Amino acid sequence: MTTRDERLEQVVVRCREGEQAAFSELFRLIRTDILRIVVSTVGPDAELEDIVQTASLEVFRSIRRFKGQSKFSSWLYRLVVNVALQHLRRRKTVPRPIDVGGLADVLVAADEDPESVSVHRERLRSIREIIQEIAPKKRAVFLMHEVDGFTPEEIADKLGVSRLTIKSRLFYARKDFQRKLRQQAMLMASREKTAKLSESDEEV
Amino acid sequence: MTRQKIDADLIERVAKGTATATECDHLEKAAAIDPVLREQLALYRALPEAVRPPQLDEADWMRLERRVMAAWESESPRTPVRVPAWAFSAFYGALALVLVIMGAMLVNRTDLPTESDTAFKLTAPPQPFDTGFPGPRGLTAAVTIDERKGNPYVGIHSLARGWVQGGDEIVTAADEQVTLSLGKRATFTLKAESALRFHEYKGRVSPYLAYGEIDCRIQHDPSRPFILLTPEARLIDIGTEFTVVVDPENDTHRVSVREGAVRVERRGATAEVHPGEEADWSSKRRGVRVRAVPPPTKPEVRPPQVSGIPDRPEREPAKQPRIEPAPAKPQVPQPRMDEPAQVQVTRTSWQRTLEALPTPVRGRIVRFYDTVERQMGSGYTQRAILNLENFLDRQRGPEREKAEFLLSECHYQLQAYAKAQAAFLHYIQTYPDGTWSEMARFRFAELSRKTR
Repeated sequence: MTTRDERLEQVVVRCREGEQAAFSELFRLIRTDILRIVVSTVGPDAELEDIVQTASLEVFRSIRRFKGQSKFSSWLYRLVVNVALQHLRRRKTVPRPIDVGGLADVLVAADEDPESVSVHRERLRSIREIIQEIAPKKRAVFLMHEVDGFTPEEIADKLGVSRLTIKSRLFYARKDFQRKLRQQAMLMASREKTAKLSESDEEV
Repeated sequence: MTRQKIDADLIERVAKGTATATECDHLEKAAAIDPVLREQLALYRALPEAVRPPQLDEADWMRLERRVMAAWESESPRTPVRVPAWAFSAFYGALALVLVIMGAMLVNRTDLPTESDTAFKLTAPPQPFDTGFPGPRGLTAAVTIDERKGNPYVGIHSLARGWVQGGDEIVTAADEQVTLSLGKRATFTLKAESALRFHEYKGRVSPYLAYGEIDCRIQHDPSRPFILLTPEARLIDIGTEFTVVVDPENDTHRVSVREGAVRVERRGATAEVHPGEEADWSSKRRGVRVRAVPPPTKPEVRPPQVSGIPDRPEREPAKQPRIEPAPAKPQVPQPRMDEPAQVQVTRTSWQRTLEALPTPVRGRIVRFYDTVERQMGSGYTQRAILNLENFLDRQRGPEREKAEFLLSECHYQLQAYAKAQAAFLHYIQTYPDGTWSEMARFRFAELSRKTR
């Protein structure tokens, strides 16, 4: 057991005893885990901080129910994934804020080729859109598999769902992803072709 | 190797770096002549970067931590203090002692009326006034609005039907006045900055002057006296015209009679007031003091300073109407039961929404919002959010308006600014002329500035 795990174990015990100061420490220990789980469940989202906040509060509320029968990380994973999925369900009723991105999305470093940077950003944006279009449960499994590298068995264990269900979700999620990716690739390729044709017209 | 094979498996494996060298060569060759395949490969390779969690710096984390801890502190109950067992015994012992002392004081209290206290008893048992007939909604009394000055708040939902019930109220602001007829024999003029409520009192609907000034003209019927309730006394008409002033802030209560007589009854005392006399009483002293007031040189009745109504300008005494001289033969307006009162009262859209609901539904909605507001006020914001979201899932009518606004407020309280901003925007778009739209616009602008 690493030093961090030992520390986490102690803090969890203090939180379960109701020590208010321990919650702040717990947050600092698990905040990156929560963010990673949220991203791997809902994908890139403008409301990541809000989801992290909701998930952290849910962890604080539920910490008394953690009996230590499983690993804390597994318990945390399942809880945060459920919060994130709940957020996705709720979001249907509330309009999403428009994510205009930060300044870093606009600026290009001096040593970078603006065109290639622009194309790369376009690809990232396309990928994010494709991921957002996958159904939430399938998306969670797909991202856990693709981003975190979990096997279907591990995902089944963390989400408390049967292995066959996970495999099925993963299969359909990949199928969806590949289909949409191909459509997007065709679209981008045709754009590139059109751009080249217009350039050659200008040269003529 | 077919194109399908490449699409399904090979691209993914090559992108992840798990393909063999032969497979990589094969794909590279195919991609060199197929721009779609090339683009697919590039998109696959961009996947890990696209879904990588954003890098929050320490300042962002600190800000998030403050938000989380503030929300947690607002909803977490206080740490229970361990109280030793002996403290319980001492506490309950002291409580019992206090209760015993209070009981003894209550038993020995002399100023409370008893059955044998003739001063408190009515000389003739009051018969029901011609109000208080049982209707489909409980006890009701016929009422019509005869004249209005200004735009008083009339919290009488059923006024258009010509009757009132317990709990209804009329409140006037500065420079406002309303004249109404209750039943067949009573006409009131509720002066500025006054509140008249209707209570169910001893099986009838009786007017209750909470504060302010009221001018009464009663067609007297000895067998069926009319009763006006005030916080400190009840006034039973023997005559016809009198003015009552109630000023709880200064503990001033008085009645002046212009015609007939009025009996003032309060705990341990009763007094009759005749024309040219004025009676006053106070909660700090027992009894009712009656004194003669010469009508021509009598100083003007100072209007009460009303407490409990903020944001109202102070009334100017010079502008207040003096007690009007009584006509020789009072003209009591005839009730217009056949034609319901036409009341044009400005009410908020939310009040109109509530009024349009059936009574049982309205009761449930009002209770729900009371609960949610209590939760919000006591820091249980998450619980309030849960309740509001459940409510919004179920309700589809205009009664959602307040829930939409309160939900936005909850997010705002929790400093979930992105959510709050979106929710306020949704509220503004859905209810552009809503009751809280101005507040929502303000919040939205404030959040736009914050999140810029």
